[in-house]
Amino acid sequence: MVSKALTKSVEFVLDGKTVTGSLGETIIQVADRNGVYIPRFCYHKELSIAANCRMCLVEVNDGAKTLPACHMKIAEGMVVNTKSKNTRQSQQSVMEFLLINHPLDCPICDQGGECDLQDIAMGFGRGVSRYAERKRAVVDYDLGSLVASDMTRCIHCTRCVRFGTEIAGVPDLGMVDRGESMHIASYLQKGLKSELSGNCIDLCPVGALTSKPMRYRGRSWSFVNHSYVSAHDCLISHVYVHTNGDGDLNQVMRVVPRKNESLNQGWISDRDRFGYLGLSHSERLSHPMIKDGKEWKKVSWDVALSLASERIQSVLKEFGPEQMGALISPNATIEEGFMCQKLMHSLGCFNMDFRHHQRDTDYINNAEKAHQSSFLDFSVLEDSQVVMLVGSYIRNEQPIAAMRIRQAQLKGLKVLSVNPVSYDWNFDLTEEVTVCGYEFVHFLASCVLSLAHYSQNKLSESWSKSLIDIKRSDTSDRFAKILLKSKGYIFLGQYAQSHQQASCVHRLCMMLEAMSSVELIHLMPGVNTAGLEMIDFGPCYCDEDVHITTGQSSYDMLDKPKKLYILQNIEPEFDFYDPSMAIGALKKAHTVISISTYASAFALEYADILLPAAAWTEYAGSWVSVMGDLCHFLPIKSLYESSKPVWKIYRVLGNMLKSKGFSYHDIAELRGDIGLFQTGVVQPVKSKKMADIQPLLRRNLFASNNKGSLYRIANMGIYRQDAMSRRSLPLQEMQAEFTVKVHPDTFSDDILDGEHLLFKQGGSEIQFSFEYDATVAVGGVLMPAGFPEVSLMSGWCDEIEVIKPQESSK
Amino acid sequence: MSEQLETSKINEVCLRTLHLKEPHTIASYESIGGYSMWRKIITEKLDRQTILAQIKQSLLRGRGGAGFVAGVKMGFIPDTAPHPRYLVCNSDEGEPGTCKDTLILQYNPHQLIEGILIACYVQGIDVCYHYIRGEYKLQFDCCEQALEDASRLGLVGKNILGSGVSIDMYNLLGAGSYIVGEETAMLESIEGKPAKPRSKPPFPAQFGLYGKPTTVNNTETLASIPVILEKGAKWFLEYGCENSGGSKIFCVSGHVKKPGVFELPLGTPFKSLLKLCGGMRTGAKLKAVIPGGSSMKVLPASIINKLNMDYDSLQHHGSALGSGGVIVMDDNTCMVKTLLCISKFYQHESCGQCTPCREGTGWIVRTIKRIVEGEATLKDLSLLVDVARQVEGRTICAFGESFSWPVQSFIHHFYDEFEYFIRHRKSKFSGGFYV
Repeated sequence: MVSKALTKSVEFVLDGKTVTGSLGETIIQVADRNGVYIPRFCYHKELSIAANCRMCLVEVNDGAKTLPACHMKIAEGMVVNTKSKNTRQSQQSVMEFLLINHPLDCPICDQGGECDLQDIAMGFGRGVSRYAERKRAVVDYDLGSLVASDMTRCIHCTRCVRFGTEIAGVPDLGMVDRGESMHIASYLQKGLKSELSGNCIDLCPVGALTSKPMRYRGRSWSFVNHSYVSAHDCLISHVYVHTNGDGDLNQVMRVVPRKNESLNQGWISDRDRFGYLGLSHSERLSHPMIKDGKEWKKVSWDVALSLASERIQSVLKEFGPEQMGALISPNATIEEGFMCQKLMHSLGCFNMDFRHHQRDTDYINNAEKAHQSSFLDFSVLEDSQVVMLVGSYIRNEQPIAAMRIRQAQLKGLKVLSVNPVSYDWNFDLTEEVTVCGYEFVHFLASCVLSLAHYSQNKLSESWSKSLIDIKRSDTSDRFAKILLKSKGYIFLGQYAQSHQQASCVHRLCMMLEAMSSVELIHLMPGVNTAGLEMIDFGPCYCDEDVHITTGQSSYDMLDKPKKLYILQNIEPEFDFYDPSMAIGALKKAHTVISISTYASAFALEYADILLPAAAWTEYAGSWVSVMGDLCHFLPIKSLYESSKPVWKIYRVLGNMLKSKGFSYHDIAELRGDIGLFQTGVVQPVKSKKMADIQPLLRRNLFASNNKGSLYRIANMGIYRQDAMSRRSLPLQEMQAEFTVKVHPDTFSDDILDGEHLLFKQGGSEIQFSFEYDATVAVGGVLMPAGFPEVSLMSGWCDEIEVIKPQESSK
Repeated sequence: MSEQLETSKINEVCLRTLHLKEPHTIASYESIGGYSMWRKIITEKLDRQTILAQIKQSLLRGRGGAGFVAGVKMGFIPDTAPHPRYLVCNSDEGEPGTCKDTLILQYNPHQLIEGILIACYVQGIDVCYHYIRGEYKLQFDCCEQALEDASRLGLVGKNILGSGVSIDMYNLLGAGSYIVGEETAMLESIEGKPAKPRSKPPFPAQFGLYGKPTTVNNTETLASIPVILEKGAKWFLEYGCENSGGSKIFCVSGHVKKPGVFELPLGTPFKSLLKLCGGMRTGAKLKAVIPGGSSMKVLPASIINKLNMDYDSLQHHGSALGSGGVIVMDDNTCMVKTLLCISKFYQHESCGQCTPCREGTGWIVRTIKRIVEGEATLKDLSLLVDVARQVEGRTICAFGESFSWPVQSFIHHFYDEFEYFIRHRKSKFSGGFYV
């Protein structure tokens, strides 16, 4: 590797002008920087150099042979001519070859108008074709529901192949055969399996790979381009949303990446790209509705909102504010959260939460915020030595973050994993531990001991006492040694946060952070967890540094049912830690007011008032990403039917309830009231010193009576994490099927693979067939969450009983 | 040169065991002085530079086709280069008309092994991969046997003859492709990938097999080395002619009385070579010759008859010695159909990775096909030449030239035949090579 200090500057002549580049750069890189355009197909800045399209041939040093500018490195005194006769002839020749077998059917090709081949042919091709033979036709294989293929149009640049092997880490596509019959095909015709596969559509310079959902639905020149942000994970990827500008159609046509080197670079995940398809789902709620007995009635906003305020007032009068609760989506904007918080506070209620996947409430009641110490910074990640994944299936939860880890890993980053399943990663792990249930906490505790040992830190008395039953192990020593010497991150993922002992996990990771130079990052489900925490949305309201913990967290609100619930974009059957408990509580409630974009069959059962909420792209708001970026966005399409932006619903509700301070005219005025927007700069909370971190280990944590029980492991399906993705049908086709998996060593009985077993959790039980899978931790039952199959099951990480059906019938 | 002299100077370098009873055995090879050089080098630890200087002085040129001076190539890996370094012996002779390496592999494998060992010693190479074409199963077995025998005597492997020098050697069987004969494609193939040539630079000496310094040499080149060292560089140089040291194995095929393989001194007149093959078939006259495998330019009788078979002389007259596959055509051969046959081969063997080659091969074949089917116009002839020229020099590897040169030279030298075919929708001649 050439270090930066050694890079020498090189002077050479480009089209008669002397230019400088650094040693090791290619001609095309310097030309691009100097505004000299060289046509290219196979070359892509982010991919390796293939030099196979030969379009960028340029004359070098008056040589008879033209050389590929994408591959030739610059040299001192070199003379490059990109406009000479020789260069032109080479480029014309290549262009002619590229076009002879390309079907010139641009009018029926989806790429038409944004096709590199079309553009470059205009500039560098001949007017007429001399080719009089038959053209080649290529078989199309089905690549899945996202990417349409028309391989006859392929010009074999291999960008898609290189993307798969280099960026996504999933070599889905490859070159098959040779010569004229060479073509791109998917591995064993299995289609695209990568969660980043949609990027092939952008990479393909021709119409060979196009968006299947958008096929034949619009032309790029009639689209309106909006700089926007994505709404599917806490990274908030930067995107462009293209809406149809023709007539009144006004719909989102597609989502493409917006370049941002410090975040998603030029890529987005398939969830970000195709999630928009959920916007036009038939379950979109179009009008306010109220339940009249068992009948649902479409009503006006006035009627629906007056009923809502009436019900709130009556519950308030009869049962008091403690009998109410607000459960809002972690995707809610800061403005929505602020309005909801203001409304609830004005009613004297502190029961509100957005952390529905959390069972361990100490975590929240102790006002430990997720964004304790720092924000994630990918440029730091590239220069880091270690990333430790703690209960994080990052590839599923934040696909773009996994891609960045892969890139850093290829440059030498070590990745450690403590997970309940040995997941299928798209990067290599240095160390891996597969544990679940209490062993998960045990292992982190032994890591703390190991790290204390190697970093020569003395643990406080309370810590030593708490960890008295824990011993260092070889593995934890290896983890500690790597953590000790390195800069990097610990990522706490969904499993760690849903864990029954999430608070312990959190404290233990804080200890690891305090004793090393790694930083702890919470990769929370949902988009705006960071933003909502910054405005102190939640049961414990921080007032002049005094914690008032009068409210209840999401789990507690449902565990001790309330009389009235306000739901905002929540689907209890998927979003809650314990769906069966949640639905039970909601059904028992006096009134459930659901402000929602969609109305599922479940919602029609438990809700009493349904208020249609505007969806992504239809309202203004702000989010804070896990990177600490404050993202503002404006509506870019008109509201669907009579839906309204959520903050306005709270505004009217507040006014109807005669609460003070709900007379905002517009969102700008509202923002004026939110402290976060005054500074404009988002600051992380300083991390705690080691001495300040107290152990939070419960008595039963190391008790022997827990041995032998099985624990459920619930990761959410990649496309089951938010309401919009759940309704994007092409994404659902790509979603891996719901399967229950168990390690072969877990069952001592002779239970056969594929047998139907009864899975029992709390009050709920369901029969499933299961698979033996050695990637699952021993003692765990991998039963994903967010699927309709498990909408009646209980806690994500709770104990689970497994019974053979015939035994149960006895 | 008289005929006696020529026949006496036959099979003296690479095929020098051919006259023995069991030429392929280690005993036969040692009986003619085989492995004596290697034993001497390894036991006396002879100076590398001195050996290299001798190889350079002998003007041994690459026998695979390009004719690059082997001694110079062996000096490309600097002494400071990292280890492991690799030598790849290229026995993937796929050039139509060529069948020279097969004889070395089958009848004189030990001389090849000795040559490989010396080449490795000279360049400080640790491992040699010997890549044998997929169709040569029998020859592969011969090489495996030879390697086993040599290993048993401690001539190859770890700590050779107690010298502390270790050179590992592996025979590999290819999967059957023409382009794998291109050196970087061969490296890809050894690495387990499809045989697709790499873009150069970097050249194998800097970034070769598994990214390590690598030299790729042809079998015949490597097999010549022991003889150079045994008999001296001067002998070798004088054996050949100016600028082309030593001998070359010529594989004569086509319309001659006795097609065959002959190892002759470089610079032997073509007429003598033809005589060795018993001359043309009865009643036939020489029309044209492709002197170095089907990818080289064709030469009409009027030119080739005046030439000697060596690198410079053929190059000055618009062709090249190539791999030594001499394809002789008589006056009844239809050059249009012959070109179709050759072009079809190249269309089938193009790796397809870069545009001009992938698209150009098909275009050329389809156009020639139209001539043969009587559906072409005279315009197509100039188109053919134009397309062939468009490919030349614009591809990743030399395959572009390989199929462009035959088209250009066939039409250049035999334009009238192509014109006749197009005008009359039939060939001027009945004969030809068919696929």
